[in-house]
Amino acid sequence: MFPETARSPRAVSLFLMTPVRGQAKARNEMRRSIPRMEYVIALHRLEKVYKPSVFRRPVQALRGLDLDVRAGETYGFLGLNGAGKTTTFKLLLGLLRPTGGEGWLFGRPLGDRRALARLGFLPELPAYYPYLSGGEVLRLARDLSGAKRDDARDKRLLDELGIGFAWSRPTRRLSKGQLQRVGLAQALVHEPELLILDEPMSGLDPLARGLVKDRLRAEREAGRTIVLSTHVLADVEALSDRIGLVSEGRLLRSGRTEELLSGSVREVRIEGSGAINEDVLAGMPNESLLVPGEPWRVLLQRPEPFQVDACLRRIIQQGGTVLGVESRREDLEAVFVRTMENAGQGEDDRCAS
Amino acid sequence: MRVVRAIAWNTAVEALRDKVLYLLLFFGLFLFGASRLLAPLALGEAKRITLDVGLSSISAFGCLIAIFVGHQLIFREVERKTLYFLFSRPIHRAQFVWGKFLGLYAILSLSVLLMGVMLALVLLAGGHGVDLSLAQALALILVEMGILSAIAILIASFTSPILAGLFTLAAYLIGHGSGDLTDLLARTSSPVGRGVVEGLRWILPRLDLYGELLPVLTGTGWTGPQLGLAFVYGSVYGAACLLLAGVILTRRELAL
Repeated sequence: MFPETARSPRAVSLFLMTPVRGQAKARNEMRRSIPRMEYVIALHRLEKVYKPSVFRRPVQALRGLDLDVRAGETYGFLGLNGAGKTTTFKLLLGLLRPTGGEGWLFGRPLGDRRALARLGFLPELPAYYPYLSGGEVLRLARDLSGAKRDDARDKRLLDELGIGFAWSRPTRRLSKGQLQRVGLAQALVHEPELLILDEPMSGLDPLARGLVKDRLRAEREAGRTIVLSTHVLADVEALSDRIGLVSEGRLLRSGRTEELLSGSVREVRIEGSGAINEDVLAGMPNESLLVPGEPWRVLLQRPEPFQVDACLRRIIQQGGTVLGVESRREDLEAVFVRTMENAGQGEDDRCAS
Repeated sequence: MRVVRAIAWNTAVEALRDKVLYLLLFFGLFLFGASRLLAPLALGEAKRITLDVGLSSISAFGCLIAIFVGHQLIFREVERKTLYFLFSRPIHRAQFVWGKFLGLYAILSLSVLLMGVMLALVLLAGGHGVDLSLAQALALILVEMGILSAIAILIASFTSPILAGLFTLAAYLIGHGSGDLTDLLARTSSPVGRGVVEGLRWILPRLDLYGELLPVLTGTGWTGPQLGLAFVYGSVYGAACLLLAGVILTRRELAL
């Protein structure tokens, strides 16, 4: 369940602990141990059921979500609409209370104010008081966070995000993309250790996206922990150290970005010259093909590593010369789509059975 | 304290930008018109009529502002989704409630002060004197508005804005008739009935303490103990409402 975090037997026992025997003692031990374990966020079998009213059916938004985010890492939190991402954020902020499971933010229970003081949050649709200017929003954010006022720094922050003019302009006169950047600035203004960003690229033009990405890279370099939820998967791939894929309130896959993408070779192209015939494709994946010519090309679709080895050996045996081998990996979008399709298939199977 | 001050400032700015003080312009025109129309009919009681109309209007206008701004203070934050901005920070919900109340109360105080100045000007223009009892009456109206604002925020913490507005209006009307409960208590003999009436006397706001105009009309003013009781009662009742609102809001899930 926690392959990367549960390194010691003690950690395993802490995370897989079930509330059966010595419950209070074990739970206290877990609470004490969480801050030392450098987790910024630790969610354990978190559940949330919305009960709109007595006349409407309850909706289960989270079904035992496990999630751990370590200090200093950038975590891409991905899922389809309605997967439970925003509910998770609301639980982290203490706006909602879980109906099952447990969660910690900086080693403290969810919603704890001391933990919230170390957090900056950008909601999916940032909304501010329309009569306040960008500068007044940042000043209010500082006051509410208990940070010292520093207008010069706040102005610089808006400048760096390309919206210096928003300092004195009421937020009701800002476009969606400009408001989004004011939102990022208010999340950063008190220099939090953790940034939770729900769709930070939403409504941004390409130039603004570049600025925001640069800013997020700088924050990562500065050691800040970032949890990023967005549907722009290329951005997640570029920015995240680790990625979690969530569907129907459960974490389907989680791991380092390069690990998630490494086992997913989409196509291998072998280019060469000299003698070659169709026999090289024997035992290769179905969609593979040989493109004759000089140089010729062999295209292997989603091959296993041993199939690539076998193909290369046959080419040499036939008297061909290999000029180059190029592998094309799946990008995050392809991994995401495949994972979600598999999850949907699994759900269908369960329903059928 | 800084958090409460920041929320209060923001609430006051919002009320000002919502042009709440425009109501005062209507008040001024109404007061001027009423004093011009009614004074000739009063046969030597022009000051009394002007004071009566003026103070009743200040109370009514102030309470309207308290009810119509107070009942949607919380709902607007939810509707506009600005609660994300507030509650993603280390803010206790009770701080939010007190900040909202103090912001609203600052605007109410400003309104009462301005309306009081207008009334004094109308009195002076009519050749009547102004004494301390007018200031006492305005202070009591302010306490009454504090109670109403706290009730509006309390009811808004657990119900919809429309219901909160209606219930607060009902509390205003019932509160001014709460003196009748004392008479009812004297006439009730059954222990159960007495218990119910006694309970209602404790729960419902005693706004009749603040509606008495005779001391100002006669120019005698209120005694120290009368004023003290009114201030202490208003402060305790208002604080209890706000504490309860803080507890309710802390326990409430804010699904946006």
